[in-house]
Amino acid sequence: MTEAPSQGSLNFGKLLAPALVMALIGGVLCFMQYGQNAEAFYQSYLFGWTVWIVLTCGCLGVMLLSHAVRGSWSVALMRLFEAGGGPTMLILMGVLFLPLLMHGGMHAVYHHWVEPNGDKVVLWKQAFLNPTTFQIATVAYFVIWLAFAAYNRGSTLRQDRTLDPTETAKRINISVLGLILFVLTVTLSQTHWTMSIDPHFFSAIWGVWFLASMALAAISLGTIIVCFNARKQPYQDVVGPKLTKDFGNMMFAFTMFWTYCTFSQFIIIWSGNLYEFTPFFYVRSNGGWAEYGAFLMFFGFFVPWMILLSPGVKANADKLKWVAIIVFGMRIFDVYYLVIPFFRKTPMPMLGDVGALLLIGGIWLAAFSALVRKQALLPKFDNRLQEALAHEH
Amino acid sequence: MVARDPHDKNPELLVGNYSYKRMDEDVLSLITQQKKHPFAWYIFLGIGFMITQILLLSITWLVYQGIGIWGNNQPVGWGFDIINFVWWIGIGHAGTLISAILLLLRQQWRNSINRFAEAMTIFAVMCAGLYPLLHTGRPWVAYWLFPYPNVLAMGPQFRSPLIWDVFAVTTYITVSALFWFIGLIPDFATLRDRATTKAKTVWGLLSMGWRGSSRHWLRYEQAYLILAGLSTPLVLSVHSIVSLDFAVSIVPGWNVTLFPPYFVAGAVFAGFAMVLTFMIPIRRWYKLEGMITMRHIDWMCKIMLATGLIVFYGYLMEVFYAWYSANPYELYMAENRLFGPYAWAFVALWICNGILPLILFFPKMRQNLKVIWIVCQFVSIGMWLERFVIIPMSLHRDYLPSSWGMYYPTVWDFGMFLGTMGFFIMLMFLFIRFLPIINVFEMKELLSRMRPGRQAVEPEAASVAGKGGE
Repeated sequence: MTEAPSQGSLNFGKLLAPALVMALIGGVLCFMQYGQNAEAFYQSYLFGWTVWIVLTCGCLGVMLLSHAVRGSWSVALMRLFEAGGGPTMLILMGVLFLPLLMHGGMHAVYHHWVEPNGDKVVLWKQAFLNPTTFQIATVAYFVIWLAFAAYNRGSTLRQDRTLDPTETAKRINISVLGLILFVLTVTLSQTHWTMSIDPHFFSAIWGVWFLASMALAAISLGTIIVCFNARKQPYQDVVGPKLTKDFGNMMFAFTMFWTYCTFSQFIIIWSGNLYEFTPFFYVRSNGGWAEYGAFLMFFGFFVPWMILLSPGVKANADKLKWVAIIVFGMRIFDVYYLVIPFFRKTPMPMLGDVGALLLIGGIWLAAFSALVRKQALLPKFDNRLQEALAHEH
Repeated sequence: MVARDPHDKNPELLVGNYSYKRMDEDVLSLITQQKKHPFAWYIFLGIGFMITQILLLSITWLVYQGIGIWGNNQPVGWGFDIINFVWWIGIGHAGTLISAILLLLRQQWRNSINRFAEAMTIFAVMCAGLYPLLHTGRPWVAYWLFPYPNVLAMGPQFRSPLIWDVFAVTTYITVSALFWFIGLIPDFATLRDRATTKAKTVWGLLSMGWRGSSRHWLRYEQAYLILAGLSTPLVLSVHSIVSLDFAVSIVPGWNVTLFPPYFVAGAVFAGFAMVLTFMIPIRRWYKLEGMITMRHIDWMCKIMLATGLIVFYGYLMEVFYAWYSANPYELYMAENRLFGPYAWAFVALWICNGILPLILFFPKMRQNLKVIWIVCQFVSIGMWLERFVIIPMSLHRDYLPSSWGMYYPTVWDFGMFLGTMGFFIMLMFLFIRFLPIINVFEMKELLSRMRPGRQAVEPEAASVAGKGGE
């Protein structure tokens, strides 16, 4: 990889224009959907927003995990995670959630518990599921994430300037605490944002399942960026078979873990056959959703898993990037499978689904391209990757 | 070599002036020179042996009388038998994690502790296997659990996770034993070459003609990696299937979708606590502090801490989703745990597994062996209580109040449990005496990697068949 001639430097600025076009197209589609059916628009919007919050949280979570365990493989991705799951992106995602926090959005998406209509199950959990708690909790989730994202971003930038090694130790301590709170807040937030669409349904693995998906989204995005630009600076200096193997192994492990969570939930709900849970899979077994589920398992598990078994693929950035695209793409299909059947009986996408995905995605990518350009792509304070590559040669 | 943090005050993975020869002497002489064993070895073997007699007595009486001698009743059809089965199976998981997963992750700190942990896995699974086998009531027809052509026109119910357990546990012990044995072969060869007594023949047979040639090493590495690859999913699958024994039913407190990952984390948590329980005194008695360093202990504590936090997360989620469910049976399950007749067990469980291990957050505590050992005892108790809370506490009050009851274990329940502990202790101490407790050739490999050029300085030290070769 590194013996190949350099193709210049990576320029994230090129991403800005397509991202804005994407957002524009998405905006037009969303507008059309809103005109046709405002309720369906909000439901689609939740899907689109969830895809990108999964990625945002994934970047933050993997960053916290990497700092906590001092993983060397993630050094190459650190600046990407800091941009994707950093304070600015979190504020942006928080702002983008506002339509769903407003009256129209809440009534369109969470009408089961916003208007309980004497439903005893809903009335029981009103302390958790009511608009005020929902809004305050949403702000609290973002504030907690923001605090840890901002601290870590500030710390790595400070260390880049000062090369003060005590920053590393402080970051480990803060990140361990951050990771604990992150896991708890992701669980609660996804209970609020997605599980509560059907307030009768509950599944204790929901948060862990999302965590697996978040990790896959972040690692696959990082892999796509690094592997597509493996011959460009600054990645040319650090990308080698060992590093791409690490990326591949991480995707492999989390793919298995995601499947494990998916299967655990399925087998337990299917065997229990209780009225609270069964509708979740009953809906997802009819009207084309069963075939959709099979597609999800095939491309979300079998295909990447089989390919990632091969050490040759993992050691080759040119091949690995295609697997990463599959893994990343399947996150969209995964969120669609989780969210949309709560509202519709068939998997046929609506204008708003595509629109929300493009609109929020476009804004996300535009912000990402601006944020990632602010600093050098590889942290200066941590040269373990360069050392490892030098050692290999 | 693992990258070191400049602020890390923990010692290296190998502390002291080690040579290949000294490694052989420190570890293998425990087998070849029996007098090196401390008095504690005789004491603990004796204790283990005596308690094993209680196991034999309990089993004999059980087979003679039937499982009515246990405290199991209606509605608590599963009691100590299943609690202890799950507890022992869980303990075995640390061994597989250390030997297989850490190998695949290229973690060299596993080298000095994997043999010990693998032995623990096998002995713990042996203890675990006894319980469901005896709980069938007719262990002499246990082969009915396997699908085989028979004139009874009966076969196992493959939709039951209890049958999955049969396959999971038998696969687990088979793969673990193979993995352990394959890993021992180069060390058996070293023992063969060093032996001066008739034991040489035994070591010779066990080493299966090992000469340390490059072809042997190649095949060894391939076999070892394949077995590591097979063992890795077993770490997840065995305890996941154990968790499904409960989770696929509709008993409130059992039908929890989080059970599989939470059981796996609990298993690793309990397993590491048991590894440390034995390792801390043994490394001192046998002066192995240079090979099982405070760095190993520190990392094991960190793994315990991480898995303990996952387990605690599981406890919190169980309570939260019981409330969130708004289901009266789930709600009562949570209420019964918090305020019912066995609330003491639930509170003790949270203290042992949730609160006390948090002390390991402090680096100083992770360097204090007494504190670590005490925390490990609480974790072992806590993990047993976890199964007590899940099993009898969920069963004794479920759907129909007219069928509620209490569970009182009998002296035979305690006898069996104590007996398996004695059996485990006895096997561990026999292992220490008759097999190399540290993977010597892997430690030599570590030594060669950590100190390049050492062979040139000390050529006489590199003459063993266990490493190097023709």
